[in-house]
Amino acid sequence: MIESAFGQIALILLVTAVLGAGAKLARQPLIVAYIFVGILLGPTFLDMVHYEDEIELFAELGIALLLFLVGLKLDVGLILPRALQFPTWTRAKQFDW
Amino acid sequence: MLDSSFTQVALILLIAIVMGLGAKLARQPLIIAYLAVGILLGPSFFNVVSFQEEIELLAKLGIAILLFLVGLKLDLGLIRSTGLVALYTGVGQVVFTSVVGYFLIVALGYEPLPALYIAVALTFSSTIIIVKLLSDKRELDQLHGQIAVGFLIVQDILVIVAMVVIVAIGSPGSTNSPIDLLFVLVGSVVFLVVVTLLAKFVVPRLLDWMAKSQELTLLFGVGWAVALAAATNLLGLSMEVGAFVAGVTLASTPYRESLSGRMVSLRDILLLFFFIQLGTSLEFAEAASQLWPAIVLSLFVLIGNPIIVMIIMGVMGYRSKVSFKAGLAVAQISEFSLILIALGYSLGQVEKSVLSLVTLVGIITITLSTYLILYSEQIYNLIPKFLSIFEKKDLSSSIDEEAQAARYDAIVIGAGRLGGAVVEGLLSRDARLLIVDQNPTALKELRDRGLETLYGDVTEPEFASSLPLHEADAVICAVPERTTNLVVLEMLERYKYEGRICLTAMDEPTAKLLQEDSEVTVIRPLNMAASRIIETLPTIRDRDK
Repeated sequence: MIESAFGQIALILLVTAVLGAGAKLARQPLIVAYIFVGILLGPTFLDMVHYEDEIELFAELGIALLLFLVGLKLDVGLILPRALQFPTWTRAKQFDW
Repeated sequence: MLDSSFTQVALILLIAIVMGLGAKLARQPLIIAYLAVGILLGPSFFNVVSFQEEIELLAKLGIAILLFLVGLKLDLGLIRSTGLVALYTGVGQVVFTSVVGYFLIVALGYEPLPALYIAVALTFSSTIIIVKLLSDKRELDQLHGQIAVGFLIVQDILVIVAMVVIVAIGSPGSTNSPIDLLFVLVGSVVFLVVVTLLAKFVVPRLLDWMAKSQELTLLFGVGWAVALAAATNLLGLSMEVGAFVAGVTLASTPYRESLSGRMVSLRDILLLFFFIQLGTSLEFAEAASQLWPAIVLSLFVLIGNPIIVMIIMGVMGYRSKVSFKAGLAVAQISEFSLILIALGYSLGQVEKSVLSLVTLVGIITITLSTYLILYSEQIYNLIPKFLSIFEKKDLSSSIDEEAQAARYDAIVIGAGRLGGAVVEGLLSRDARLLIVDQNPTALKELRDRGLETLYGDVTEPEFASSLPLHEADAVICAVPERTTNLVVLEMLERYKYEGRICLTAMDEPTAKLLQEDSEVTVIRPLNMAASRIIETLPTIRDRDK
């Protein structure tokens, strides 16, 4: 029924929002819900996701951003002695996982 | 070399940044830069974009979020506050441009159906570009800014109507068979009923509960927008309508501002790909043959549209300066014009050459009207004599700039332990307050007591720009976090806020940093508490003497 890449993304997002709410209820991090969505929609169960290329692109972008943010928020003060630091402060937000 | 979609996206983004810098230097909106990137990377020049499907998916997601945000921010109150003038000018200009434009385009040698498409596309003006330009010039709160925003909202609604009509009569097959049409009709009614019920009973509660996790709220917002878009697409309507409806359903929840604050940056990134896609579909040889009609139609939009708005406002009794500045807001076409034509193209109703034509008109009118708006004051001073013909002779009844009265004694940021105490203290002196916080439960208690509240994160630029700063005599930031206070100060300086500013500092370095600005009163909760403690110890005080 859901043939287009757009429709599949819609399905994925919606299922994720529902399972994500479930994860919050069980006081679990959202990552757990995300992996469950993957298992549920993947070939093991419903086998509903067929646009691997598109999803892989999103995943790659996501990983790039994640690692970028890790670098951006890396607090030098925690590793280097005080004398070697230069003053920095970022206004990036906390992860909400 | 560039054979993975990931590297292509990287290349597109990189070039977009460079071109975007150029656009900012020329004081042009970024949309121009994006279109240029598309043309540059498309078949006319380098021909490096080969992952059309991936880019199309990103573009579609961008359009869905764009329309979701239009629906989310749809504020009918704004139309009411500027009154009938927004309605008359908004509708009047659309009718004028589509009718006169239609005959003009037919005269240029186009078939009736493409002519109709082009004429309708030329009527709309870009809310995003205008709001950005006016807010940068700090003219959003002036009379002409309010009127412009009012009629742009009227036009946003008309765009949606146009999209519904186009797809309903335009999809291949549906015009031929009444059964298909019936299916679409019944489907739409069922869709609207189901969505209305969900919006009324399920969604608000779901959101109240999800708001505890910001990531989940964002996920839900995007998911809801894309899901309804996909649903209307399945029903045979355009996906744009579903996304718009999704926005409207969330517009009356208290999470409106924070959701739109979060989703705006997502929209901007994804919409980039729509303009890139549009640019890549523009073939230069073909576009060159469209140059003359493009210039004629651009002049029509640049001159005709403002004049009709000025005539309508003149008849209603506005001064020529106000109507001139408001009129400039319609001197360009909108991203919706491009979306509309792209929709017609995907339905097979218009040729690719029409897409090129409208893209060209978009580039020309957006570029030129940006300068018209930026230098509206100077241009007005050059030609006031001519413009006075758009003014009523009897000006005793004319409507002039109104002085803005302060609506709030203070905006309080933070309703936590400190903020809550500040609010109670101010309330006991009958102050009119607007309370801002990112904790929905704290706000709910205040809202239940009849106070005005706004849910959102002030460190997000989009949300900050929606604060009614000019309507408040003071801004009090009662949040202990150092970053929040610094960001608030920076924001207030950016908007050249002139009222009183109170910020909170928990430690000495922060206090020093905040105090650098002499306008700021710094609250030191810990020091103040400490000195109160010391005051209550009479023995030590005596020893001092």
